[in-house]
Amino acid sequence: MMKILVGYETPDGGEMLVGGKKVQFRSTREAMAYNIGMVYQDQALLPNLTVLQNLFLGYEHLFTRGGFIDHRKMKQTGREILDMMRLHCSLSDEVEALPLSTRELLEIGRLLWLSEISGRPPVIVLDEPTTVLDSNEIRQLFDIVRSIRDKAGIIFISHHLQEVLDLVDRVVVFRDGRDIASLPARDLTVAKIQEMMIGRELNTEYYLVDKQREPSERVVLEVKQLTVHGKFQDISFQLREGEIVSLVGLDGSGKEEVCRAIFGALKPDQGDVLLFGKRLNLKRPDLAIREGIGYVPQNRREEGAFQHLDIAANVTVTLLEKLAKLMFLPRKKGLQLAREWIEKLRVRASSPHMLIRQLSGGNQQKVILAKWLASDIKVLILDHPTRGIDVGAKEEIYRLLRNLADQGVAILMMCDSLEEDIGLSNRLLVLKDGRLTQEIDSPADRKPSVLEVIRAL
Amino acid sequence: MAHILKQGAGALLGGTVKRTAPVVVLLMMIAVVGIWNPAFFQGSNLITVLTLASLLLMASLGQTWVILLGSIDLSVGYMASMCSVIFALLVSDWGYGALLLIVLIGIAGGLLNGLVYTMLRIPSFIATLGTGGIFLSLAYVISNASTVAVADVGNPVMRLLGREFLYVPVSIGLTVLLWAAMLAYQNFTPGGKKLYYIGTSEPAAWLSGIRINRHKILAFTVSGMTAALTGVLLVSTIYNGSPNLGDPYTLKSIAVVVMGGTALTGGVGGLGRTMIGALIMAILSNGMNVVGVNVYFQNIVTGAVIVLAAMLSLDRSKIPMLK
Repeated sequence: MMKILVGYETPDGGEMLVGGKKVQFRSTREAMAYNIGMVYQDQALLPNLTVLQNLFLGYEHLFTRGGFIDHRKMKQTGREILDMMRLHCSLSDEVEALPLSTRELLEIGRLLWLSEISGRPPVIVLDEPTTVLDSNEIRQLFDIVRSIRDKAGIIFISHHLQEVLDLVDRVVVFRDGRDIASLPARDLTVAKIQEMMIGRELNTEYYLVDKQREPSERVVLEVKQLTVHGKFQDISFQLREGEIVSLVGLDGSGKEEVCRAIFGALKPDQGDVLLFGKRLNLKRPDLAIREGIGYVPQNRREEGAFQHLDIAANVTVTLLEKLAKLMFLPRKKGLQLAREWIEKLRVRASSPHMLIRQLSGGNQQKVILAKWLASDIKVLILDHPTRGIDVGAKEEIYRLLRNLADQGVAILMMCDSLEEDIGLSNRLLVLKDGRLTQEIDSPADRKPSVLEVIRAL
Repeated sequence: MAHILKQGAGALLGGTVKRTAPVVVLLMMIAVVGIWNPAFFQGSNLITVLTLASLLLMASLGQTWVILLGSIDLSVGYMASMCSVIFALLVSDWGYGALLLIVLIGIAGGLLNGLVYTMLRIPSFIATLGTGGIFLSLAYVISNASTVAVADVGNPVMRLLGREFLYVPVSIGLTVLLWAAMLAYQNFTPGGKKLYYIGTSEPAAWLSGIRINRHKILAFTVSGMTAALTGVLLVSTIYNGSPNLGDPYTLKSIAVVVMGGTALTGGVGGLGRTMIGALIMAILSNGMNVVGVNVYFQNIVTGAVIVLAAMLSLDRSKIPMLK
């Protein structure tokens, strides 16, 4: 949503008013012309350039004299910005060498300066600005934000509810892509916001909880002290036959990386993964696939689907060697297999020759699942399998996962919402800063509440 | 009505035109050149066209797979030059041994390309630009920077390549056979299909268990081999080799692949289309002679056709920026 506001993405519908005028941005540059800018969570400055170069990137023409850049004038303006933001770095410092907090303030300073020269009050979007800061720096940031609140409109995105309440005037709560409340901050408490964020209680029917079964005692996959430096440390857990386990944790907790490491797509520095007691070679994904592990990546467009290829090719990619006879592929067999899966998974497609990119997100995901279902897997790892999928298709995917578990497949996944994680899984593993901190049982008759899980994060 | 027309045009521009445009262009060219000057259809001229086409096709065989993967091989021409020199030097004394040696050199050179590209993780156009420089230098060193004439034109290998079998010159027949074998591999084996998976999306292919580097190395090795054989074909048509004889075939092979409708972005196209591309390119240059286009103007036409072909074959809306 904020990406639309700053012109990074274009909306499918609706309109936006700036100063009472209807606008539509096709690029961040157009949004900047209205002084709407964003300070991203993941730093948008160019690390190999100096402070000065970053401050005026893209606006050097404002300092030209006869076609050449007037460096003296530029430096003077740069120093003024540093003073305003109370920063002590030098203009010639490379951004790479600066602490993250300084970088963030530089970005804010840049946006303020841009609004000053255009004479229009700016709108600044701060996306989770405090995650990289320590408490002193947070205080400094808040001081500055307070000092500029007369000059600028500020949108502050955060998961840390207390700090939100301390700072802002009005709170807008989002859930599942809809805004559900817009209230003055002084009327709110942390608990009240949490309640709004969670919303309805768990819908057991939606997640087919009655189909959840107790896993057998047999351990399928065992992860032992798995470590990737800088991502996660000492992760150990077991997956049993027919068990669905969810990894939960905030952004950056390392859960995606854990999945990739088990699948051999990210090389671990330490630790082992055992399948039925046999140590796996984690060097490459094809080795994991050969042992019977499947992986549905988060990035469906680039990593999941072969966009230029048809449904048949997308289904059979993991089966080519098995289908081949005397090294040649029988044409009809692949098509027949694809037809079977189209029917079984109720993919909305007229023929297996349809290109996968012509399907909706949900149907694409079903095709991607088909390639693993067709190849006889023991473990399936799913990285946000229902992201960007409509409700109907989500339900069908849940049904598929239940069926797989019934057949004894061990499933490791992470979902878009905690409700989904809780509703589907037998067990939740909580990851915090790359470490496994807690295990929460989630049996069909005693599902933990969302709040309970949030507290563990 | 207008609505239907518009829809029809949209559909045509979407897929069918892209797929059939090269064939239509080929047929139109044959018609235009044939009507302009019926001498085009004379047996001897047809053999000239097909000989030219087989040279272009041979140079483009491996290149097609390389481009299908989304890579590019810029060493094709230099490899052909180097091998023309070596083959011209050795064929009189070694006979079939010289042919075997050329194949081995091609395989070794292509393997080098593939290894430099995949193991050192260098973009293919830089990797092959580098190795191409090696081949180029070797060609000059081996030939002493001069043309090498085949000493014994009547030796068995040269006689075989010059002979006709059922009215078709053997050199053309061998090229088409190799093309057919590679086409079968490409379309009907797991290894061939994987070229398309990798060209469409390397990350998706890797996460589906495809050994990407293996297939890349194979494609570059085949490209080295077909480039080397291009050198042999060149010697068989003009009875000598020289250190820059094959140089133009780098760009020609890329042009042929693109003209056939294989996308430079990878994943779309293949050897079937490369055959069409080779015929278009051959008829284009021969046709311009037949029709009487000034030699110095001919490259303008060729260049324009290449740009047009790339425009039609690439899905340019999907590419935000080109480097």
